[in-house]
Order: sequence, then C-alpha cells, then structure tokens
Amino acid sequence: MSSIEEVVSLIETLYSPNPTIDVNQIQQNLQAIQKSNDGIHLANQLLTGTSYSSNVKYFGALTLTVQLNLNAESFDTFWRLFSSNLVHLVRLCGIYTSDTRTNASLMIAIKKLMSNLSLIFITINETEHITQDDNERIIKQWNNPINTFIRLFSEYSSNPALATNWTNLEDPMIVQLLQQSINCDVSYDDLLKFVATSQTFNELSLTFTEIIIEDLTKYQSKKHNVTRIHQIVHEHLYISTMALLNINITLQLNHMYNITKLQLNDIVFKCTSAWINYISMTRHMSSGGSMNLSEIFQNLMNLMCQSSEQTDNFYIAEKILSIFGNVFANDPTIMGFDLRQQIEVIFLGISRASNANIDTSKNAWMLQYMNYLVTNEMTDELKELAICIVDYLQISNLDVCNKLFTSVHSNDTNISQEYIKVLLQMTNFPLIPVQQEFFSVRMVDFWADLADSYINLPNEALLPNSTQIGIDIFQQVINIYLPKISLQNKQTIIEEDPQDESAVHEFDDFRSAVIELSQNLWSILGNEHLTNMLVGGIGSSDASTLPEDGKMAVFYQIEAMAFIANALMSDMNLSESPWILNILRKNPFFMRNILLLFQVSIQMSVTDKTVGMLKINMIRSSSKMIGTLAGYLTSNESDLSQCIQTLFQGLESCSGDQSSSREINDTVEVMIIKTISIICDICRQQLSGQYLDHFIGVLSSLLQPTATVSSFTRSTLTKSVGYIIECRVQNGPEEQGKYIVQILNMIEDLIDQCLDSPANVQHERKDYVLNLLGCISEFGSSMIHDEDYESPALIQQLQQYHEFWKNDPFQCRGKLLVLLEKILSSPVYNKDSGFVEVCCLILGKALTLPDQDPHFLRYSMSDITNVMLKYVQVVELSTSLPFFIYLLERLVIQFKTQLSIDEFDYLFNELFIKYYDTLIGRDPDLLQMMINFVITVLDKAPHLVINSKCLPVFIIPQCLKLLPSNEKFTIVAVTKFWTKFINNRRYSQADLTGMQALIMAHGQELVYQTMYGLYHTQRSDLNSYTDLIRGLVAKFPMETKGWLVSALPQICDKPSIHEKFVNRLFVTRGSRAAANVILTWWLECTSLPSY
Amino acid sequence: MAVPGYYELYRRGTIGNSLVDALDTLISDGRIEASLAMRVLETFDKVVAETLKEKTQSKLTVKGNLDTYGFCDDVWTFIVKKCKVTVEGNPEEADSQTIINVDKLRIVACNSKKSE
Repeated sequence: MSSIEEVVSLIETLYSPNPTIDVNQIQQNLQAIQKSNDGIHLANQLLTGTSYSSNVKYFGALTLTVQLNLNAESFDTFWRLFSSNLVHLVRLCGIYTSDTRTNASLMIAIKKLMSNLSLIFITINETEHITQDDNERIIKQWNNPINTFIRLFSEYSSNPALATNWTNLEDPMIVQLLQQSINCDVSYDDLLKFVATSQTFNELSLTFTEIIIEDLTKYQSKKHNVTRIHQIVHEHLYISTMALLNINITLQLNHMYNITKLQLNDIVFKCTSAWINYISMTRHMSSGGSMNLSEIFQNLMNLMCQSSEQTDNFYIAEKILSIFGNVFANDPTIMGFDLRQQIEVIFLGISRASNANIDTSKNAWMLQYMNYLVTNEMTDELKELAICIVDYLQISNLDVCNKLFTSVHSNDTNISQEYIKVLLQMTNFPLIPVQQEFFSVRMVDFWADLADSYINLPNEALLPNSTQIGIDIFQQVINIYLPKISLQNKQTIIEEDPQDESAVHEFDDFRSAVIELSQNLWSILGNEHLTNMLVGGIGSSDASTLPEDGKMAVFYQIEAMAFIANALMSDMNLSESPWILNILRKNPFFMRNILLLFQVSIQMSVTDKTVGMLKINMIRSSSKMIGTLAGYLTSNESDLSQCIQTLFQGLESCSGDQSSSREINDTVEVMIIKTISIICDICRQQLSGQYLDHFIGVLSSLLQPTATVSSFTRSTLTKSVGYIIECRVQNGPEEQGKYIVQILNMIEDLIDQCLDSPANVQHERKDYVLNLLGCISEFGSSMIHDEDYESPALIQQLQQYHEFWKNDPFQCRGKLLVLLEKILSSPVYNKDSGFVEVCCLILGKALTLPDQDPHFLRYSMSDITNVMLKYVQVVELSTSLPFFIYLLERLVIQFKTQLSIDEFDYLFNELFIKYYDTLIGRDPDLLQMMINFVITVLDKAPHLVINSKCLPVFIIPQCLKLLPSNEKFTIVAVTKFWTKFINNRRYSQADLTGMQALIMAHGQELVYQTMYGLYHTQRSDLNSYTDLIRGLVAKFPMETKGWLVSALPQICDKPSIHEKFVNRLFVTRGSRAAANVILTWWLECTSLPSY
Repeated sequence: MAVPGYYELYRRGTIGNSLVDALDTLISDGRIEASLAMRVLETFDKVVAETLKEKTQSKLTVKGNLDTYGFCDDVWTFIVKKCKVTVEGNPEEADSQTIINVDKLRIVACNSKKSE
C-alpha cells in the first residue's frame, strides 16, 4: 500500500454502511498491514492524525491490539506498544474532555485503548521474571493502571501548551514521564481532587477500572492459572477503585453532588457489578484473602433507602436491587452476616435473630417501593424484586428450618412463627400470579426447599410439637396456592393479551411447580392432612345445585383441587389403599363433582381462544382424575357405570361439537379415549360381564367409515375392548374365542367392503383400511398381558386355551392371513409401506410370547417365511424392507433352535444379498438395519452366523469395505458388528474357533481398514472405533501389534506418532483411557486442536 | 457472575458434535484458525446453556431403580436402571406425553449456578 491516506480511505470504506468495494478483500488487505512489522507505526499514525475520524482512530487502537497479540515478544516492542497505548489514551481522553458532546464518538477508541492496557496489565503481572539476565528496564510489575492514568492525565491537563508533545512518542519528556508514572503513588486526596475536577474525569476513571476488571474476569474464567495478579489487584487497584466508588456513592448519599458538580451515573453501578463479579470469582483462589465489599454494600444499602418516587422515581433503588439480586442469586455469602441481617429487615420488617432494635422505617421504605411498583403496574420491576427477595430468603432456608422445627437454637420460637407469618403473607401477594405479581411464583421453591429440609432433619433434634408446626405452616401454604393456580387467573392472563403465549406457558409452569411442591408436602402432611383435605374440598357439597351465577368460580376451585389431588393419587394403587377408598366413600359428592366438572367443560361452547384453552385444562384435569380413580371404581360398580356413561357421552358430543375447532375436539377426544382405555384396562374384570356387549356395540358403530372419530380413537377403543375380552376366561376358550372372532369379523368385513370397492380408491379409504388393520394389531396387543399378571381362571384352563388356539377351530389365523395376503398382493396397497408395516406387526405379534402362552395370532414359522418370501418381490422394498427385517429378527429369535443354517442362509440371501447391490448397499439406513440384524443373530444364535456360508463370501468382505465409511450410522453399525464378532460371550467352543480362524485370515486387512477409517473419520465418530480396537488388542494382542505396525505407515507418514500410539495403546486399560490414546493419535496425525 | 464460564458438556451432544466436525473441516481446509474455532465453541456453550434454561417448556421425569449415585466436584451422577422417562409439555403438540422405556440411564447433573 503506497500511503497512509490510502489505508485511511480503505478503513472508511470498510466501516461505511454501503461499501463500494469487496469487504473481504479490504479486510484481508488491512489485516495484512495490521499484522506486519509496520503495524505499530501505522497505529500511531492513525491515532495521532487530527483530521481522521473516530472509526480510523478505533482501527488504530485495534491495530495495537493485533500487535500486542502477535508481535510483543521482545521487551522493546512491548514497551513501544505499552507507551503508545498510554500516550494515545491520555491524548484522546484530553480531546474528549475538552468537549464531550462533540467528541462522544471518540469513546469507542478510548475504550479499546483501555482494553489494550488491561491486556498489558495482565501480561506484565502474570509473567514470571526469574531469570538473571532480565533486562534492568523490564517492567516486572504494574501495580495500578488507575494511578498511572491519573498521574499522566493530570500532567496532560495541567500543561495544555505542551499538548502537541503528546503526539511525539520519542519526546524525552514524555518518555521520562511515562517511566515515572508506571508505578507511581496517588494519595486518596489526590484521587478525590482528580475525580472532583470534572464529571468526565470521574467517568473515565470508573470506565477504565471497569474495563480492566471485566477483562481480568474473562481471563480468569478461561481457566488460566492466574494467581499473582489477584494479589496485585488486591493491594493496589482494588483500593483505588473502592475509594472511587465510595466517593461517588457517598457524595450522592450526602447530597453533595451540587457542590462537586459530579453526577451519579450508571457507570458507578456497572463498575460496582463488575468488581463484585470479579471478587466473587477470585475470592476462593486468592492467597491474600478476600477483598472486602462491606463498605460499598453498606453505602449502596443506605443509598437505596434514600431513593424515592419524588427524587428519582426509585431509579437508584432499582439499580441497586439489581446488584443485590445478582449477589443473592450467585454468591450470597460475599455479603457479610450483619449486612444480610440489615437487608432482611428492609425486605421483611422482621429479623430471624431478634426483633429488638429493629429499624422498621427501612421496611416502610420497601413497602413504599412495592406500592409504587404495584400502583404503576411495573410488573417487570416487581418480578425483579420478587426474584431478589426470594433468592435472599433461600440463603437462610436451612436456618429458618432449624429455628422453626428444632431445639438446636435456643431462640424465641415466637420470632420464627412471626417470620413465617410474614413469608406466608408475601406468598399470598394479593394480585394475579405471573401477570401482576411474582412473589407467589418464586416462593414455591422456597417452600419446597423448606419442606425438604424439614423432612431431612434428624428425629432427635426435632421439637416435640414440630409435627404440628409443620402441618400448620404447610397446610396454609397449600391453601394459599389453591386459589393462585386457579384457571380463573389463567383466564385473566389470556384475556389481557391473547397473543402473548409466553405468559400462559409461564402460568402453566407455575401450576406444574405447585404440583411438585404438593408432592413434597405430601411427605409431611400425608393423606390425612393433604389428600383428605383435597378430596373433602372437592366432595363436600353438591356442585350440581349451585346457582348459575358464580358457578364457574366453584368449578375452577374444584379443578385446582383435582389438579393437585390427581398428582398425589396417580402413584397410589387405589384398589389396595383402604384408607383412601374409605375417604372417597365418605365424600359422596366427590365422584359426582368430578364428573360434573367433566360434563360442564365438555358443554363449554368455544367462543374464543380463552375458552378453548380453559376447556382443555378442565377436561384434562377431570378426565385424568377419572382415570386415576380407576382403582377405586373396581369396587364401586355404580360409579363405574356413571363414569363410563359420562365418558362415552363426552366422546359423542366432542365428535359432534361444531362450536369448537377441530384441533380442540381432537385433543379432547384423545384425552377421553385415553381415560376410557385406562378404565377398561384396570376395571376389565368388572366390565367383562354385562358391559362387554355394550362396548362391542359402541366399537361397532365407531369402526364404521361414517363415524367421525380419529384413527387413534378407533384403535384405542379396539384395544380397550380387547382388555375386557382378554379377561373373559372363566367360561373356557370357546366363549372367549367367539368374542375374538366377533371383533375380527367385524373389522375384516369392513376391510373386505373397502377392498371390493373400485380400484381407484381414494386416499381417505386407504387411510381407513390402514386404520382398521391397526385396530387388529392393537386388538392382538391387548391379548398379551404383563409378565406379572396372573389370572387364576386362565391358569386353571391354560392347557385348554393352548390347545384351542393351536387348533384354531374358528380359523381366525387362516382367515386373517388370507386378508393380509389380499392386501399385500394388491398394487394399490402394497406400494405403501404403512400397510406392509401393519401386516408385519400382526404376523409377528405373538413371536415374543413364551411358548405356553395362548394367542390367537400365533403364526407358524412357515406361515411367516412364506409371506415374507412371496411379497418381498412385489412390495416397494426401499421403504418396506425395514418391516421385513423387523419380522425376520423376531422370527430368528423365536425359532432359533428350529432354524437350520441352510434356512438361515436362504432367508439371508433372499432378503439381503439379492437386493444388496441395487438397494441396500446404497441406502445407509437399510445398510445399518442389515448389519444390526446380523449383530442380533450373533447375540441370540451365533452359530447361525459363524457357520453361515454367507459369512466368508458376503458378510466379512462387505463389513471390511464399510469400515472406512463416511456415514455415521454405517460406522456405528459396522464397528459394532466387528466388536461383537470378536468379543461374544455366547460363542460355543466351536464358534470361537471358527471366529479366530477368520480373524487370523483377515486380521491385517481388518486392522488396516479400521485405522484407515479412523484416520479419515470425523472427530465425533472416533469413539465408534474405540471398542473395536480395544477388542482386537484384548483378544489378539500379539497379532494386532504386528498388524498395526504394518498398517499405520501406509495411512500416514508420521512414524514417531505411530510408535507412541502403539506403545501407549498396549499398556492402556479402560475404555476412556483407550479413547484418549486414540484421540491423541488422531489429533497428532491430523494437526487439529484439542477443544 | 456476570461473565460466567459455561460447561462444555453440550459439545458432546448431537448438535455439538456436528459443530465440532464442521469446525474441524474448516480448520483442515485452512478457512479458519483454531483460535476462532475455540471462540465459536465457547459461544456455543453459552448459547446452549442459556437457551435450555430460558426457552424450553418441556419437563422430563424419570422413574426407575437407582443403581448408582455419586457426587464429585459439584457434579451429581446417577445411573438409573429399568427406567421410564416421561417427556411432557412439548408446546408443538397439545396434550403430548412421550414415554420412553430405557434399560439404563445415566444422568449427569451440574450446578447451573456454578461457573465452570
């Protein structure tokens, strides 16, 4: 570049809003100059040029940063950079001070120079100067940049005539001044005099110390081993800064700003925060003890209480509370106990320690402040305050707990009771949670922690009446939260701003948090004082007799109680909890009111979004409660009948409800059918009598194509009916079989009608057929019961049932197989993988069942293999093969002892090898599935793989080829295959010998392909190879070493790295250590960094 | 406090792994310096931690047999066997609840307030 003017022009272009030249090119050119040996010279030119803009000056400062990072190895260069930064900072500050408004844009360059100096400060003070040949001139320590700045700037300001000298960095006077100023002392009086000279001087000093300490905090956070500098900061910079900050705060406190012309500025708060952060971070690592912040905290506290609506609209209070909030949230003990006690009095008007000598005027200030926030609807500020106060309370949670419940502290228990009373009042803040107040929201955590602490107290420390105290307090907590979580509040929140979903989500989170709190409190209150209270609250009176006016308010209360009660009762086995059953029976309106809540919410006409959301909430709470009560319904047939009737009415009305959106109806339908399914599952015994025919009737109508219900509802209801039929065993297999046939016939007839319709079937018709097939699959699932489920009637007749389904006199399987084949042979359906999936699911339904378990879908091995082999050729294999693989996997597992190696080979050939080149090998998903299938067989029946003819001619060659794959899924699968192949506990002696022979034959190639793949793979895939390499080292140590020595030089030419790798690998134990060795080899070979 | 360091554990997640791979490629191609990749990852640590804290609505509950637990360096580790993981509250799906049955689950829980 020919001239400085050309560089200036490029910088201006770079920073212009619409650069005319390619910005990347400009950046490259400028960066080249910045990094060059002319960088410092260029920076000086740019920073001294009087006519240059602030952008150019900033670029000059930035160039000094680049030089500091790249070219500051020799002391001379370092000193040039150091002095340049200082001189330019002082000069630019001088220009800025002369007219702050005109020169405001200079601040960006000034801040950059300050940042450069903070880097220099860190560099000088963190470098160890221990060698003898250290140059005398080397600055071994820089104590206090603020003192240096004050000294130099005072000199500059006191001799305006010499200002031009400050452009000449070689000026002997300047050089001497710089050297003298590095570690000069500035007395407190001089400091005060300096900052009192002008507001700008004050602000510049505060900005400088803030920048230094922020940079130091960032530096420390990067885990550098920094220790020495903290000591220097403690002894020098900390003292100056605290003086600066306290001067600023006390001047405001004493109303002396008018005298000194200084103004309290946000910089004071920002600087204070930065210093608190720094001290918090370093206080545990500094050898010289912690830097005390008591004076500044005390001053801030006093200043906060002076803030008022009249003076500053509580602006200062807000700023200071934000600082305290930060302290309480992150490092509360940085504030001493006495100060925290003062804060307690301000926040709560009470102290845990003693109520004597309490200055309640300070709490009056807090009440005034809260009142101001509430009156002016400053919800964000109120939220900040709530967070600050509750964070504060959390610090002493354990202490509160000990004082309340134990005899550890011999204090006056009345104080603790009073204290809790204040906290309860605060929790019951009289506004709408989330929308208007946040105290109740935040206090959830406090009460949950208090409950936890109480539960964990040792019994011997508890006060004799601690149980009663706990019950009194926590019952009040629940009573406060019940109206707080009411949907009435949610309604207000949605109506306030229907578009703001975040507030609604926040309210939902609040409700969930209250649920968790209630679960915690249950451990203390138990059923007696919590569940019973809720059940009693719901069932104390008949809600059906309520007058219209105010009816909804009562239902909102019932919903809130049901919401919590459901969470408490859902984990109880109600049929085995006589206590709860008794309580439920004693509250005759409980069930009725829950059903009424459900009916009322079903009947709600959705006129807007608010009603829609509330309707869903109410149906969710009531339907979940009904589902939870299923255990109770097993012994209350009249309630069971009522529930079933109400739920079906709900299902019917929501499918015919035109007022609600489809989305709402779908959601409601899902909730109802899920509840029906739970009841059918748990009350199957009770429903297997007179109800069964009723259920089959409902199912029959809902299965019709004209029924407006979802696929999910159809299949879930079929499964629900299946539960009931599954239980109908007492009259022998024939009766149950007839019911099964009835359901199957019903579905098959509907499918047949569709299949017989014209070929150009509509999309809806196909979905319907798919849905009906899904119903058959779900029906089959409902007949499989849990392992621990025992039906005495079934066990007695197990042999008859087994025989019955073996013979299948109703031809269930045969008829269904014909239907499935009809589907799979139809080009309309067999190109859609959904149909193949459901057919495979039906065929494989009973494959995981033990042999003795009867099931109407127990197809034979030949039935299944015939279907697979017949239709694998006609279906759309790219999408359907996964389902055949799924079926084949289950088949091999089930019939592993009956399947011969030839049969396995035949199936493997027909399903995989035949399609490998054209399809599977090109699709990573299918490839992964095929390899995973082999891994499963290796695990369940290894002899089938080891003795397979496909192994040497297909599986091994392909798996070797796939080792250096680029595809993550393939790498994972193929490395897993080799790991399993080498290290398989299920091998017989013959299998083991076969495997060893194969590895000895292919070991060199295997190791080469593994290491080649490893070398070329991405970092995230390295771990996939670790287990394989470990397996080789463990099982074939001698051979693997030789194979590695031979393979590695062919991969990359770094012999010393390879040697180190091999040596370390063979002495490493453990997966993590091996992974580290492999990672190190990979990083060294690829020259990539370790993150 | 204001400038906390962030845990690096999310780098081992799927998104983190993909980012690391992409950065490796950029370094290998000579398009960025290693130091820039480090800065990108530091930013990633921060953004993931903050996003997970502030912008998630889902709740995850775990129920199972607690096999092993430990607390070291402010990190809790739990190994839960035969557990049922329930994910609730996906805002995209009304009334959604996903249940995942897991044979073995390892939970690593770090102190969100602690910087590094």
